Amino acid sequence: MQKETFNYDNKIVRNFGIATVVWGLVGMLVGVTIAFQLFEPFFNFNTRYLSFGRLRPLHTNAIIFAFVGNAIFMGVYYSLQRLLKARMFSDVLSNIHFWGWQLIIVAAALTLPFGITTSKEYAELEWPIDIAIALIWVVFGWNMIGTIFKRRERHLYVAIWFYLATFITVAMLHIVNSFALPVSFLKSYSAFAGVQDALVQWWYGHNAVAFFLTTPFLGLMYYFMPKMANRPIYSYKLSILHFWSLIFLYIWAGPHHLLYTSLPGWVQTVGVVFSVMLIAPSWGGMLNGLLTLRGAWDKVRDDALLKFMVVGLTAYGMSTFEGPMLSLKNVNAIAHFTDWIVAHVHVGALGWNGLLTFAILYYTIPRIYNTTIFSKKMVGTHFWLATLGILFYAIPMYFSGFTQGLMWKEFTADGILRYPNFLETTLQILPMHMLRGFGGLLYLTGACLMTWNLFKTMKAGELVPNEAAEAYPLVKEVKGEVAHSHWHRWIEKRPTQLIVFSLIAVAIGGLVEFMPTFLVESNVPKIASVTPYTPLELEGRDIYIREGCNNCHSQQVRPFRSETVRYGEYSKAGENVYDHPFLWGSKRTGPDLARAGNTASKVYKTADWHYRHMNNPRETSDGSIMPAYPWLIEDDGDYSDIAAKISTMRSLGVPYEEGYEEFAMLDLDKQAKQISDGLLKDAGRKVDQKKEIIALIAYLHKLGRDINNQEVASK
Amino acid sequence: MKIMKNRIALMIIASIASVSLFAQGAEPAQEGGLSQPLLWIIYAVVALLLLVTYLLYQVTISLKKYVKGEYQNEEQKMYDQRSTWEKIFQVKPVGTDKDTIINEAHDGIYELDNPPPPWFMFLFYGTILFAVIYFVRYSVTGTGLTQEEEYIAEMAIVEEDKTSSLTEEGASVDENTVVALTSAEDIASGKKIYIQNCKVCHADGGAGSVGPNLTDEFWKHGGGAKNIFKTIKYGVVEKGMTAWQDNLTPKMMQEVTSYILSLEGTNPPDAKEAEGDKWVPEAASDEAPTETEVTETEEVEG
Repeated sequence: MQKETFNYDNKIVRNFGIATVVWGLVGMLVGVTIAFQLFEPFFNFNTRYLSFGRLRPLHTNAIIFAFVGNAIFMGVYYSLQRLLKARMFSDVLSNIHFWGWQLIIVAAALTLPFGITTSKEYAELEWPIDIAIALIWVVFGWNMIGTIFKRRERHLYVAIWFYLATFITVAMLHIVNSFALPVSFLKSYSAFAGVQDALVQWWYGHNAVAFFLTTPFLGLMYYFMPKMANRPIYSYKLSILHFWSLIFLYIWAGPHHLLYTSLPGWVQTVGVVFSVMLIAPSWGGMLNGLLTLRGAWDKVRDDALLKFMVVGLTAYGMSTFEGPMLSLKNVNAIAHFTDWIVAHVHVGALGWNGLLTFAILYYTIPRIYNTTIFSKKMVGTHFWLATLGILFYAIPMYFSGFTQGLMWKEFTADGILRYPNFLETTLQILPMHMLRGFGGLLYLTGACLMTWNLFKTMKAGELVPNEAAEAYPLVKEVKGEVAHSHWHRWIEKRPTQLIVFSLIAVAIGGLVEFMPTFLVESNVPKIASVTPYTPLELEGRDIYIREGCNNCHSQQVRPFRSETVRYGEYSKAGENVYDHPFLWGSKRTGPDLARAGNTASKVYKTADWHYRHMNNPRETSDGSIMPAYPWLIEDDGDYSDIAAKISTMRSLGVPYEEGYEEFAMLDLDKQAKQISDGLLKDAGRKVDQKKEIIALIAYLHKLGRDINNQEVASK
Repeated sequence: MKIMKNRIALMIIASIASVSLFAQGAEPAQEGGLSQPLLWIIYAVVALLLLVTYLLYQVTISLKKYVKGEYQNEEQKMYDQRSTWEKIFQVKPVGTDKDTIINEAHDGIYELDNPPPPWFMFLFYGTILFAVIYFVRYSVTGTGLTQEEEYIAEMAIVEEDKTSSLTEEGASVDENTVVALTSAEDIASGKKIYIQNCKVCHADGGAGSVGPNLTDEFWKHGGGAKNIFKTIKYGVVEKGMTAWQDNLTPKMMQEVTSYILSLEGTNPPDAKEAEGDKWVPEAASDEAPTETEVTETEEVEG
């Protein structure tokens, strides 16, 4: 038999590599900026486009989908071709994939700062961009699977199992979580409401971490680690065990983001137990990586790339141990809503994704440019800057999270809250926020150093766009030829079956959790006194979404004494049945607002207070780090879509009367006038009823109000 | 010998893991509390002690072998010559690679057919066991408390504490019995509470900002200790005044009332203009003690 000759496409690898570096720098710069805003709000430079609520989604999207996303594609396009002994299926698809993905990122950068957002974490992009993501993702999958079918290697290596699982699961997650009904070209409402929306969102959110930040990187690790160390993978059996258990178990664990909320108890329990079971499968990946270095540890001393890999894998091991621990209810009760969670995700993002990406860039770029790295010393310096950056980031954040979590809960011997004023607990942790900003700056400096080093490397070498390779073609296997091999080999040469079985493994968890929550009524007990939003409240809610208030304010009072005393009655599932989307939030940089409109609550504030507070938070709350929102006071609200919004909501099941959209504007004006008159009467403040602040006040005063004098219709 | 050793190691790890497993299974998830961190520390210490014991055991075994020079075969030697970490993590020695390597490379990458380390399998099955027990406790038998039950239990303890602390000094003060306190100590304590809670709206020294000026003789909801106490306790929510009864004890509300009374006539800079009606104390007998009367009289004169 004759060997076939063919070429590897290196140009697409180079393109994704450059995109990784560029977007990485952008994402990290935005990250450092918002880190600085969290101790000095001046760093939004008093522009609406740079305020925290709008930049934070930009930061997370840039890091996850632009930096890490491009890194995944770079690594996959490099390793897949070599593991399959085949060029990518289609250069056209490769290019559509590359440019399509970059356009999506640009679209994100052009919408998020303008407040065009769905508010759902890590899925903030509006529906036209969501559709583009789905299409481009399919192009990626098509290209990958096409390459698999024209491969010259019979067995699919473990890295490719992870790539395939990534493709099908992300497609599933993205499509289901993006179900929404458009109001206009750039505005839509989630198809799900309240507690159901929360469940779907965190099923997505948690598994975005699992299948975008974890499984593709495990695949990359399985290729690049043995390559860099020149050692065999320690255990094939462990690969099989941890691959299948990881993808099966991960999908169930989403509800651990919603512990002690109004999510049904049994779903929370499922979230806890599956999170705990995830320790071993997660550690399986770390072990197989670290044990691959067995017999090569002396190399780690001299090779900065291996240092990146080792620290990256260790960070992965730490955060996947911490994750299950945070899923235990008693730990979660302290950690949730605090900086602890921020520290946790950054150990994963900066440590695992960041360091591995750097190592892969340092490995790949010189090879496809047929040269060696410009400066080895600079790589070493980068390693230490990055590692120090992570330490300066994570340690203060753990400290801060622990401190604030305990301060929120502390009672004096007299039985009253030790820190009744939320702001006191914020001021306490500001020094930690400064240290965190410094850590981020160190990490960014390292990335800049890498950019320079890679740039010089590219200058010194020359891209080999088509790298020649040769391999035997695949011949049909004669039955019974392979006498003795592992049972798992069967599926490794059958990509279709591998895809189908992976899909089954990842689909089960979601189905079991969703179906009862959506179909069994007792899972969301109705509350008769809860009414839909009035048109003005709905517009106020959309302003709240536009400004990204949910990035810092939760709307979920947990059933703890420390929270019911501070905020009022704990949240019930029935209160959110008209919330498309839900706005529970995941972080309390400021106090919870679930009871902001309930006059029996400590957090209730008058219209005039809200006016002053939005205009300048420091006026009502000395030392507050909340940004000012003067534009809410200056700008007239644009309510031209109100009729469309009402009818969209009705289509989603909100009981507005048929034809109400025609009167919505009248009702809106009436309520706006009431609030404006009230401000004049109670505080002597003249505010034009058209201003956005009026709508926002209407919404804030609706929050948690309906539960007064309520009767729970059914338990 | 090798099998024996592995078995002992497994048992030790099992006992470490079961300690924490037991801790999780037995403790109903509870909020905060001092005992929890303490328990964790104890578990950590126990785990550490067991680890040290295991290490010592390993060292003695190797020493014994070294002294006796006893090696039955080459394989045994390979196992014993592993580094300490490799022994702890029960890793196969590098020398066995040639026997376990799978003779098929992917782009030059080989895989070994080693089994996952025993402790890893223990962790894997251990967490599954934990999950089953936990799920049965919380969602089948219901022996684990639901979050609503936890909340009711937490609040019941608070109620009990409240009843017992009612006998304490000052606990029974209410809007009908309150009198202004005059000792410097009480006023200072009131000032501290004021700065923590009231300053945000009423400004430094009661000058007024979002909330009204507290230093003049005009009051929107009535002056004098009783009315002020009442306003603090129940709030005037629709006007933005918070009800403080759950966040301040009766004694604390009395102290802050006294501090506010002591501010009258201080004329702080940037004071807000007067709001409400002029307050004229009624029958002196049911108002505050004479000392306060004197201040108020002086104020009227001034």
